[in-house]
Amino acid sequence: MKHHQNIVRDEQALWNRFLEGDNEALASLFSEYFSDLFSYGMKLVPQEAMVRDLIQDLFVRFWEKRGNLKQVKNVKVYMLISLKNDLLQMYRHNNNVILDAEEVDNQFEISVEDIWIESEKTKALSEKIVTCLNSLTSRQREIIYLRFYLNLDFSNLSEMLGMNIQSVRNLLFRALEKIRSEIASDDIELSNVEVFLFVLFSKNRMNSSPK
Amino acid sequence: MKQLNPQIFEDLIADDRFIRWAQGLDRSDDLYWANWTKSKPEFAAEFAEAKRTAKILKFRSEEITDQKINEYWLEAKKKMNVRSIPAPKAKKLYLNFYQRVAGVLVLPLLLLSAWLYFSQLDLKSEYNRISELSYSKSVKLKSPIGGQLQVELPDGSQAWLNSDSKIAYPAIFGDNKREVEITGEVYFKVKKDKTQFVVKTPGPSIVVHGTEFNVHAYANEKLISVALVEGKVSLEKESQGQGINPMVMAPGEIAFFDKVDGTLEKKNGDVYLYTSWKEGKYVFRGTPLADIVKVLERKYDVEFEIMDSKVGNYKYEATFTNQPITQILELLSFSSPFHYEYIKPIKQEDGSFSKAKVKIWK
Repeated sequence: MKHHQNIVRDEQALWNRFLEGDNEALASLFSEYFSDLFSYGMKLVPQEAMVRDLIQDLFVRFWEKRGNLKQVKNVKVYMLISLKNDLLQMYRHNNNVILDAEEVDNQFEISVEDIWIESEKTKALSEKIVTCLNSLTSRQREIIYLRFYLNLDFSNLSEMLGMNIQSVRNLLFRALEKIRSEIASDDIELSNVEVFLFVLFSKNRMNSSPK
Repeated sequence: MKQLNPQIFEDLIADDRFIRWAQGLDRSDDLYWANWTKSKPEFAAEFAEAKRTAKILKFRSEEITDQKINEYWLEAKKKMNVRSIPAPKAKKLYLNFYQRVAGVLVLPLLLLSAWLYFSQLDLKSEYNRISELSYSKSVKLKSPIGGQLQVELPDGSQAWLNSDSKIAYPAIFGDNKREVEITGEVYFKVKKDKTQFVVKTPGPSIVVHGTEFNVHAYANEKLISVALVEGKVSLEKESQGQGINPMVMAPGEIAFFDKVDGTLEKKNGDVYLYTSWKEGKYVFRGTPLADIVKVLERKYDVEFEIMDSKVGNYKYEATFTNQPITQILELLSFSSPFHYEYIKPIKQEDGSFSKAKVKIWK
């Protein structure tokens, strides 16, 4: 995944060039967003081939319908929403049922493979995190994933989830509270470097803070 | 659980910059967050908790190679109705257009749109929106390979971007700092003001009040250099164990930061060598060929391959202006002989052109 958000993002410029008929601009958008779209799609419907096909079809549709497409506020959010709609439609079609996004309860199920394990995260801790995440509602898992993995900001989250910003805040912080209360702070041992930096920055605080 | 100030905790979680840093995805912000904790020691617990939360929730990224993604794209493209591509002509035109227009048109356009935008805000007279804007909206500009871009910053300071460089700054500077972020090579002429002007680079931050200097900080080069023309600047690099140890520079000095071993040194030198690009001149004095070709790669969008490292160490005294690349190669190979082959751009299957390539050997 590409996390270079500090670097100049000319996604809007690329989108406009694509609207003017520049196929290479669309190619750049494809390579920029494929990983994120794929990862998000797999969380909704964990079927690799289907997700990949739908992303490809989505871009084919973008290209064929570019005359009717407009400028969008945020290219990434627009693509994520489009993919979500396509996936849910396909899912309903295949399962011959009518479902709302919220009703698919196993969505955003998190497995140990999803969790980044660094030296200070033991396997036991990862499992604990996973259990805790999976005890949340799928909506809460989705917002955590969108915030902490795809780095959507609050206004993007509000657009993506169709909620106002206050509701977005409530949903996210309630979920975080649960995680924080279940995973005690001594479960995460800060690596040496961090302890070092932390002591450096706030020596007095560190010594006097209650354990 | 400790009693935390929820507002501080939530603000940190809502800050993209914080999340990226806390998850270890952006080390360049170490200094910024070090300063944050230093200036708000009373919120150390909130800070630690927010950081812990971000770390717990760090997900593993999907490992999909660029090559695979490209394959998927080509599959999708087959299904698209991409008609006869006028890419060669259009592409060339686009580049020339960009180069010429960049300095002349983009800036007034930007200023015009900024003016239109602000006057509209003014009509609404929403104080809140403006104050929000000043902290959240940032302007990001990029100069094309082979082109340059001149930018006027919100405070009236000026920046010249050399080929393939990037700059990001807020639409309005805050009350107590002026902060810009760059990669590549940028010449700054900073307006005097009592608030600090800070240039963030992938290495040390440069703190100034009003002065002229050049920053050279390309991602693909080992050294970052700062050449001071006039005034005073200090370089701030966070070094573990010693806190921030600013290095103060005087006019005529050039500082070098080694990205590999993290050392920062300065010496007296000919500052003109570092700033002449702004006048369209590239001046080299005792410069190894390996370094010269890096400049040429950016200026001419050409790829070099030096087949023999001995040739890469040949040193040159040379000044180039806007000669064609082939003429420059001829001049270089004339003074310290080497062989070279210039491979013209080739039209590819999809209609675009490959990069020109130069092979150099003894």
